[in-house]
Amino acid sequence: MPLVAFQRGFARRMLPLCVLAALSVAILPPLSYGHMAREQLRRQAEIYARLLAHDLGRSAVESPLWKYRTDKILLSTERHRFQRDIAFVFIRDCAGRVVADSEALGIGTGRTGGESAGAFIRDSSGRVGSVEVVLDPASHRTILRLLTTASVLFGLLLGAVLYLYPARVVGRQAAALARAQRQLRMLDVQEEERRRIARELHDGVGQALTALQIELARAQKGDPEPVARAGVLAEEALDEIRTAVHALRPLSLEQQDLETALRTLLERFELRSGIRASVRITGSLNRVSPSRAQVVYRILQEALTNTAKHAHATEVGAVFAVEKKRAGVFHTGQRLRI
Amino acid sequence: MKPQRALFLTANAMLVAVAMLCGHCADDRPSQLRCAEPAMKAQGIVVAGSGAAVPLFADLAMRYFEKTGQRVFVPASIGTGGAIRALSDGAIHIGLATRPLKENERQPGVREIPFARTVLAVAVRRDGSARPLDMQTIGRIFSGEMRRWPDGTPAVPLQREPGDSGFAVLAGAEPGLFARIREGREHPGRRFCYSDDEVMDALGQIPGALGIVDEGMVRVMDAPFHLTRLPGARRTLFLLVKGTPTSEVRGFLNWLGSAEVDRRLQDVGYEPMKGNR
Repeated sequence: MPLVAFQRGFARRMLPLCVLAALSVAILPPLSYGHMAREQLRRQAEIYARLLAHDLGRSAVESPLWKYRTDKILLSTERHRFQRDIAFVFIRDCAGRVVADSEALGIGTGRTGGESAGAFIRDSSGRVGSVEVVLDPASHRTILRLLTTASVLFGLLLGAVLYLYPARVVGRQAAALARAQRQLRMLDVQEEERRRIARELHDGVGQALTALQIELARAQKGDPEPVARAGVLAEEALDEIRTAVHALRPLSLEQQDLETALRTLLERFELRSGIRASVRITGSLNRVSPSRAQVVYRILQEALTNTAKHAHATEVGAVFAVEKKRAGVFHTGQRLRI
Repeated sequence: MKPQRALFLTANAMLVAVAMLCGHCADDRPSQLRCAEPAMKAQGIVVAGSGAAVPLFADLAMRYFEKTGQRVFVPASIGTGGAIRALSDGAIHIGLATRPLKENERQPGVREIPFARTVLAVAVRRDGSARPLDMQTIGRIFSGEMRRWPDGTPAVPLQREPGDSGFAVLAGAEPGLFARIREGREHPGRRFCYSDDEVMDALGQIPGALGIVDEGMVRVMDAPFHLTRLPGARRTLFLLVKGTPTSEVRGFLNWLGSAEVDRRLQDVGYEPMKGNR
């Protein structure tokens, strides 16, 4: 559970950062390009307005009636390379009245939203009119649309990679840690088992051999009685050793498969405790590895011991659902679940 | 700092940046331009209009001044459309048109008076190697099929803008040549002129150039061009007058109908249209 919590916490912390990275990549390039494109278009409009104002200024120097020939000059804009980018051109006289506009002459795209710039028309006496040029940002818009699409896609991809890859790595590490923890628990169980065996050997076999040593010493002094007791003590020591060996590795598992061993265990339990025992197994337990088979055997053994000791039950049943990876011990008293 | 807080602050910073950019764009809008009132004083009769008629009227204005002492100003070409607008604004006394008025150009009180006719001609510089020009050669040059004159000089056909009255006359009178000219509009090496003055300038400045001009215009200017006349293509010159002319203007108009002017017109290749005056 702490691992899952860690994983979820990590994902929760990573998500905003990934979203931020994705947004930055998706938004900033189109935004920057849009700004630069507008600036470039504005400068182009400025240059074009000045060129046009220069032509009109020359015309104004030639004739005070310059404003009546502006349409011809406007038509001649096709000579300039900016012509294809023109949205609108307005030429105003000194009173601010529009004397020529591109729309009336069929020049320009007529699309709004472009960048505009103005310039004064000057003759020898000073300013006599003005030019306003609006350039169409259509070509930039196409590039901007492509850039935006690419940036958004790349941003999403980057965000996904930034989020999913570390999460996957953390997930793998968490799984490895969980495996290590399980192994550690197994080692703890094994250590506990070793301590128990050592205790049993010390308390059982050790005591019996000590007593045997004493009886043999007395027998050496000519007393015939201890010889018989020594035989009993040797018998007890042998039993103790068998029990310890059995505890280390169940004999049933050495001679039988897991399913048969479990059934034998329950039969012996029933005989020993007088509690009626049954087992139901769904699927096959025989593909379980030897180490796991031992764990399963021990768990059932422990559960049965606990039932006998504490449940005061009259009936006990063990259930193994192999496909569902579940097992349980039930009795007529308090329910136990593994 | 918590990631959520960092995200919130960064998102806010980005919004502020966007707002600043938009604000910057909005500030770039040009302010309304102002200018001083130009000094345009016509101390006499002002006659303006089509560039094809300007040289003739400049010549007539000089003769009228010599005869009467009355000053007639003939500014540079403003085109037939410009003449109509200037007349409407009261900026000129007499307009010069090289085509009849269109329906949308007709205004109450504006009269168009046919004044003279001249034939269109293909002009090249006299020092060029291209004369005599036949219609087939002219067509080949205008269509872009023939790129060089026999002496190797590049042939530069001078095109006019689509609305030019001379080309409209040509379309009716010389459809074959007009088709070749239209074909040449798409030619990469084409050069467009937007007034008769510009055609005359280009003919004078570009070796190997050829263009279509009024015969009368070339002759009145005494320009050093060799002309190949297009007899079927005749262009009429109209005078435009608005309302009741002043006594000075009426005097000038009367003089324009005199035998002296007729003689001058005939001398320089124009055919007076006396019957209509």
